[in-house]
Amino acid sequence: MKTSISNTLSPSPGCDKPVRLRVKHSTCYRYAFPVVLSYNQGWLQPRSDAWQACVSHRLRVEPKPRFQSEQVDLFGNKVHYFELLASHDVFRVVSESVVIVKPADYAQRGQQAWEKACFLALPPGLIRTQASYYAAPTAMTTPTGEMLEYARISFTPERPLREAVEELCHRIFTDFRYQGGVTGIDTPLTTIWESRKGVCQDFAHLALAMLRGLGLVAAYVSGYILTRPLAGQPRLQGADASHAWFGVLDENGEWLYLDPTNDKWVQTEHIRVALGRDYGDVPPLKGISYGGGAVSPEVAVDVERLGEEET
Amino acid sequence: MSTSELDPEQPTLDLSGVPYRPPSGVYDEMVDDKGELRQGWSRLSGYLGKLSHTEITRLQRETSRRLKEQGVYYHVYDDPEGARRTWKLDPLPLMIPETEWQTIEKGIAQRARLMSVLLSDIYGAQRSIKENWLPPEVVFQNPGYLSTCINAVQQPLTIYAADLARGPDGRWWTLSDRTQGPSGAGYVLEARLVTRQVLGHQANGLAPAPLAQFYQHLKRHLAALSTDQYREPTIVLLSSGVGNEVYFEHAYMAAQLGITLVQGDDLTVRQGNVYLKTINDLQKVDVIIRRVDDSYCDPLSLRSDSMLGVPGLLQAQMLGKVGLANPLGSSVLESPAMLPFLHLLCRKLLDQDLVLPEVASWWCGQPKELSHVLTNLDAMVIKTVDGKAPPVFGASLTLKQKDALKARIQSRPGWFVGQQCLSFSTVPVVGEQGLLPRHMVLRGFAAGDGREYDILPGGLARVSADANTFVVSGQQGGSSKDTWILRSSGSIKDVLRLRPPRQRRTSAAILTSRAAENLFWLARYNERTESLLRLIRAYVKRLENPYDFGFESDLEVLKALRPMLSTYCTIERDRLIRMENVQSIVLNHSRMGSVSYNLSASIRSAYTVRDLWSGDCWRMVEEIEELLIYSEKNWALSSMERFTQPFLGALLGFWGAAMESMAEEQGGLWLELGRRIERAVNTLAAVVNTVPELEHDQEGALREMLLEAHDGLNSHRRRFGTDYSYFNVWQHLLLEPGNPRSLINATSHIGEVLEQLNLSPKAGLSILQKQHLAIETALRLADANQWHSADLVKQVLAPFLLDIQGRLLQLGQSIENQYFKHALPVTRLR
Repeated sequence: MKTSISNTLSPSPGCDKPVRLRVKHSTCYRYAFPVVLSYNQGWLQPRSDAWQACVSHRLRVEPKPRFQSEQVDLFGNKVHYFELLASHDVFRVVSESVVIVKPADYAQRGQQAWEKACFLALPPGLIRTQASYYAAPTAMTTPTGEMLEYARISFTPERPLREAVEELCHRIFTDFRYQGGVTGIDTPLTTIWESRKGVCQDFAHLALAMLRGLGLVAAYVSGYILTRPLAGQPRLQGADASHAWFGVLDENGEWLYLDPTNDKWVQTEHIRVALGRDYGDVPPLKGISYGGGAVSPEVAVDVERLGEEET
Repeated sequence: MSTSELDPEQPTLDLSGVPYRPPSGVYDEMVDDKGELRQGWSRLSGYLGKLSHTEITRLQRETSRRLKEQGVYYHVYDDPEGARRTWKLDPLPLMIPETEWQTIEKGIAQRARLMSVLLSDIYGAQRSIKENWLPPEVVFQNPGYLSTCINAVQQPLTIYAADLARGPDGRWWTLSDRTQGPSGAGYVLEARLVTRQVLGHQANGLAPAPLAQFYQHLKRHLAALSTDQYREPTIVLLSSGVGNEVYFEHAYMAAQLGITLVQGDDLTVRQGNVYLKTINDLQKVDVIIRRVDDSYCDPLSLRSDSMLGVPGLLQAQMLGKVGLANPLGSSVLESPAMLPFLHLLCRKLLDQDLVLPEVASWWCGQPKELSHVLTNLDAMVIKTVDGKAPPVFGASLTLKQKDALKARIQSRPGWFVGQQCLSFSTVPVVGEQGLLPRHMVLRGFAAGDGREYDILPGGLARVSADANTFVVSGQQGGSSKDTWILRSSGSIKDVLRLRPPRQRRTSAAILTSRAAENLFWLARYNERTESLLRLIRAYVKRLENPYDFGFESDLEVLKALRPMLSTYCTIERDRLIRMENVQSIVLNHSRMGSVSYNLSASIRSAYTVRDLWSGDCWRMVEEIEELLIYSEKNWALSSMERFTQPFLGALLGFWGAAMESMAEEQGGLWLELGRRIERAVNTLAAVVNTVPELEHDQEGALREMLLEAHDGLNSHRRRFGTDYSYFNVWQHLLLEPGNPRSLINATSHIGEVLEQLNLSPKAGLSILQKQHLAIETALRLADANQWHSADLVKQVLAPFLLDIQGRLLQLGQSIENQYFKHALPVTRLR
């Protein structure tokens, strides 16, 4: 049962005010053999910017890292690095944060013809510089001719960006099936395209490839969505783990964020953790361990709505 | 080049009756357009003029011979001739007068400085992008730009190289900048050495600017990267290993600079610091010369499939805890897309005009430039932004290919760069028909601290494989030349800016755990081969005349050989050892335990620690390798003697050269340890395997063979005559301390090495020493009288030897576990 996207851009129910959300994201590796040495990097701390404020963040790692540090990457994301130098069988990372998310007023964005938002049409300056990070297709987001044809059905000449991207997002939602376990992060985009199924990262990559192929500036967004839906709303896909969607830049340098997995404009149900060119720039957690043997992590995400904020 | 392609109007220069005719329309380095010699060439051409044609070609052969002798290699990927090939060097140097060099030198230093400033800008304030001096896409769309490194590349570009070419107008142009880990500076040194040797005293009147000082400057600049200025810095050279095309140079530079040659898994990051895994402990590394591409250096943060890197290395750089020459993230500067913008950047960042501008280049990310490139494709070389795709010459394409290329460029303009196809200058090289003109590119080198750069007074001139191509890659069969900067007569001014070297020493090269392991195994393989060859020699002798040795027939010899041979390789139980099997035991390199298999493994180990060998040692390694190749081609069982003897000679020669030239702490101990353990293991195994056959050995023929195979026949005869009684044989082979080939002799040498490896002798014996003492004691207490009959051999000696064998294998395992710290398999988490 798929719900059609609303044509009027009314904000999501109950989110005309900023919302306070609490996230708990835990990842656990249980090894077959002890790991004696492990190096890890994580993009786990929600961003703080005009749309959202991360009011608290705590990272708990077990075993206790002998060394850790944090930096900010090119895209403005917090990156955590840590080393585990003691032998261990279980490796657990728990990232907890409280975030205030403001509703976005998409009505004012992407009103001009989409061609005006293309990278080459942007005037020189700060916007263009930051846009350039996200403009070019990457190895994970290289479009084929067929994908571009597909995108051009929505991106007809002179059509307003907001309209076009909303329709593209809806078509991806309609034409592709959400199915966990059939794709991994190494699955090529062409396989997703041909099989017409995948998970949130795949749909985000697909949209990015199309938008960048058209010359637009588009970012990969990694984050979380509300686990427990509001009364009367369906439970969202991708709520049990890290989620991903995309943003496209309009002619004024403002982002329009859409979630093709749930066919939704990104509002106060979404928490943005990191922006990048593709998954490879911002994996929630990656590492190199000595020992261990093949393992897959147990991941649990819980996003709880604490309440509305007074504006 | 055939003569028909030559312009008859083009002036020529006769050298010893052979005309040298550069093609028209290009600049020739030696001859001007009137056919006159250019400045700086008169002495060299005067010398060449006196030589006959044969003498000139002899110069080339002499150069090749010396390079081969010194093991100067260059790896050609997918080469049918094998992985290694002797580096190609032309004996005639490129001459550059000092006045002209001063401009080049200034230009290289300026570009190095510009690149260093630009590096810190694009990873820092990004002024060049904000001010619109450099289009942002040129930087951020290049996969070489490391997005996690923002505000975290504070180090200068220590090493820089520029590829320069001279156009028809005689001006020098920059083709590309080399900013990651430029190779070639080591080959330059070797080229100088060989060129001077080959030209000999004839060239002594010429005084090219000396090179040595540049390498001192380089080491000083490297040392300055250390964060701890109060301690002698530990500097290492990070190589990708023997598979790299210029691995020779990695080893050579490490040896020249007196630093440690390492590979990724020799290093480990702990708490953001980089450490070297040595035999005894982890030692902090202060500076790394990096000869591995950016993306392969850190499997955690960069390419996760890389086996060449060190997890956490990028972090160590970002935290400023290790100096990298050059920093990770510098590959983006090499992009051909940068070239068109360097004019403006040089003016803005350094307030200067470029001294050595680039060959006209157009980045297709701009509409005007794109259409220029598309309309003038015939005059263009097309490159990609990441610099990884091979350049495509527009003129060499068919119409169809051109259309396809245009479509590719149009689909992603920002990914392509067009560069004007420049006719590089020509320079004479020695060919079979005399001197031939070849196109040339000069690589110049700089070392500095980001502000001041020292320039190598010379460079690597690389020439094309034939007259019609501008491709100068060694992979494409091109060769190289030394470059001589000739001081103007009477000038005493040094081309180098001399500075008093700071009183700062760097620590001596450290023996890594990997190096020790390679030495240990090399010695074991060599020793194993030596024993096997002796056994084969003894066998062949008997096969020719079985009766002389107390065998009934050659069939009996074959039967007797099997148990001993099974010490070295698997012999199928129900098959006789036929002659063709012997050939396979010697030459089948895929047969585990064969001579060829062992020696290939040994040579590979030797090459992995190429930096540790003296010239003489390396020559013996080469000789062993040549013998292998020769034997494979000329095999005949009848002349087996002709093969075994030179092999044994070369192996003994290697051993002698190694022990005479390698300090114990620099590896001699590990060679000794490997050799003695292998000898003890083999002697034991040969006896254990032969024991079941001894009851049929009434004549002692088998015992004689056992002695001969262990090089003990002669010493046995001097002592006991031809009395091969059990007592005599066991006493001599196992228990006689004075016999250098006896088991007990080998074990006591092992004891001596273990004593030296014990770092705290005051605390008593190490665990290894204790394990050894048990073996040594058992052997010393043993009495050969108790093993004097076939029955006793079976009942007493056999279990005794099995016990010793078990302990010895245990000791070998303990040594490996303690010193060679095998890394556990890697698990990627995601």
